[in-house]
Amino acid sequence: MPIRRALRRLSLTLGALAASAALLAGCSAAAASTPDRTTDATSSAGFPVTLHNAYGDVTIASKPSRVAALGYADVALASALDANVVVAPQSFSALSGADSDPNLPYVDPLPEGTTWINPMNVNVELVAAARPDVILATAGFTLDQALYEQLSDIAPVVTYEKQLYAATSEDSARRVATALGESKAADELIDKADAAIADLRKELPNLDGGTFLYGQARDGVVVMLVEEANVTARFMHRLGLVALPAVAELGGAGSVPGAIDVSFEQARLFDDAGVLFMTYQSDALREAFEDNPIVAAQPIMESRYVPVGLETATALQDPNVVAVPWLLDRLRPGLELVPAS
Amino acid sequence: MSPARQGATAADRVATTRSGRGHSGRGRSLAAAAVLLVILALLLAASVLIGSRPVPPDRIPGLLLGTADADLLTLVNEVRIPRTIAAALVGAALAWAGTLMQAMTRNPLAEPGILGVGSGAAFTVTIALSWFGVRSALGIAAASVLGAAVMTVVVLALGLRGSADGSRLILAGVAFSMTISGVQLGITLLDPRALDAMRGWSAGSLATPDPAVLWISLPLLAVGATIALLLRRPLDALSLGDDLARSLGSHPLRTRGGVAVAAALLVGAATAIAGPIGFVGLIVPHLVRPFTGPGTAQVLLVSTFVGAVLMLAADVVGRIALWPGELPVGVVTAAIGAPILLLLVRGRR
Repeated sequence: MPIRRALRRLSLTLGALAASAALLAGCSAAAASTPDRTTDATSSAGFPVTLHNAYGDVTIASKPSRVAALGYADVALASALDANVVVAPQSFSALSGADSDPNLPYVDPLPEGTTWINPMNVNVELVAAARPDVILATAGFTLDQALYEQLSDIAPVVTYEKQLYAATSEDSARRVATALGESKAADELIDKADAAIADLRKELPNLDGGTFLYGQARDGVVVMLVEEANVTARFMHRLGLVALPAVAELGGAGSVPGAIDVSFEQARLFDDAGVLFMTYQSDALREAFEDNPIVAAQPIMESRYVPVGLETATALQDPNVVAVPWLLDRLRPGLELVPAS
Repeated sequence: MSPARQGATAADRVATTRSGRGHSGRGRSLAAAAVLLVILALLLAASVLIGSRPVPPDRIPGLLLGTADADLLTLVNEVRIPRTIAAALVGAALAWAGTLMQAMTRNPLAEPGILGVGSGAAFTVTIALSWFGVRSALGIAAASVLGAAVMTVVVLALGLRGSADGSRLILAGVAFSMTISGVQLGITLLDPRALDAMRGWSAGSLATPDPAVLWISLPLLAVGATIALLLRRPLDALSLGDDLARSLGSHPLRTRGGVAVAAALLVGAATAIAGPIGFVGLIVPHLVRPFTGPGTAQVLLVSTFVGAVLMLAADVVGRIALWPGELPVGVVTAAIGAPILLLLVRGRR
């Protein structure tokens, strides 16, 4: 019995770690991926094209006409690049039952015949039944070698080049665009995201040099995304914000790369942040955080504490260029709270 | 030999056991209890003072006088002290439940989970989360206690049907436990929201004890402990075997039923407070018996302190092991429980 319970706990823990890494951004960003010299990154007619995947090279013979997208950034980019998306991942809101629409809020409605899959547990048979001629999994957070090989039997699979969430959003956009033969359109999307960020920084000069904290509450600890290597923290940095040094410099281990786990007992440190963005895996965890006597006593909880919804948190884990304008709109009320430095 | 004579002989054995082992055993129990009281006092102090944000020693007078900084008073009075009380209660309750289970089944590997109490609690918590949308800590705690109770009744009804044999009870517990664990896993896989919520609960943690849950658990713990105390002598008789226990006027069936109810209340309340915590119920009786002998009363007495000490130590270690974060206490008990159990097994060979 104890062994069985221990195994159950272990499996739940591993599951939690995997999902947490996915949800909260195991998004450590190593060096930006370098453009693939074997591909034609400028011409939409440059097929066949070969891409280096983390799981092996893939060659796409001709411009895809039926695209399966397994990750959120994949579907957002493919849709924005006018690809014919036949497989798309259900949003976390739909998966959790909070919303009936499986589509992401920043993605144009997809065709009625779209096959919706659970990105946390990809059903290969469903993907095969949709008869895609390319499978995009640059943001497929449950991808591994075995799944890659299964999917490769269906169609060419495009994954991340080195590791999940390691590439910049610009490189990811160019990678997907290369696979779809829409490189020029990708540059337009990148420019649009850059312009949205520039406009926001212009409208909110208080962001320049301001501080932020962004964390996910677990039982008794907050997983704070503070390190520059984390793609979410880096996105905040692009807005002009820096992670609150008092927390960022605490050191210690984080549940996900680029993060620091901080006990609720240290909540008084949070008070100095320009804004405290928080996300939760469940209402019970939110209740436990907000009702914690030490947390509740901090003035920031009344003034600059901003709970972040599920889809915003999902977009923040990997802020792809398509999501950026929508994401900024969602974050703006919180960003306006940041005191001018 | 007539049954009356057999009964008298058994009674003599029990009396001899009690008196012979009793004096030295009681003396050793008292000595062990004294040492444990000191350790317990030290750990209680450590639990109040040590954590992600340590309390500087020079602030202790201010804390005692109530003149310390407001945030420090909040930390100690509203977080550390409830957490310390919760750890001690949960440790003692699980230790008692383990003692009862091992005495009842005469199986050294028996522990509260063997009746499926923990699985029952996990199952109803999952149902509450997934089907009824329960999200509050109090609601989850209530579901936990309900699951433990229902599981106990079901296992008792099947395990003791027409037989007082403890092994049948264990089989029923294991079978039902595995069955509902499978169903529970299916539900959580189909409902990601329930899975998310279960992740935190299933790790077993004292980081954010809900005072309301603590208050509700107290009467359950009191009733469970009272039943356990009332059963201490029937359990001693049961250790001689069912036939001899009957000849001594004990009712094995009734005793096992009572033990199961007591264990369900103790484990249900402990699980409501901290979530599922492994190993404490299993190893504490093994740590205690070498000092106390097998008498249920003595084992229960010393288990109270050892269980509390173990949980407090595990919780304090969990607070500093991953500073500035924390490790759930259930992870720590699992980590230290397995080696301790191995050492005990090795020591017995």
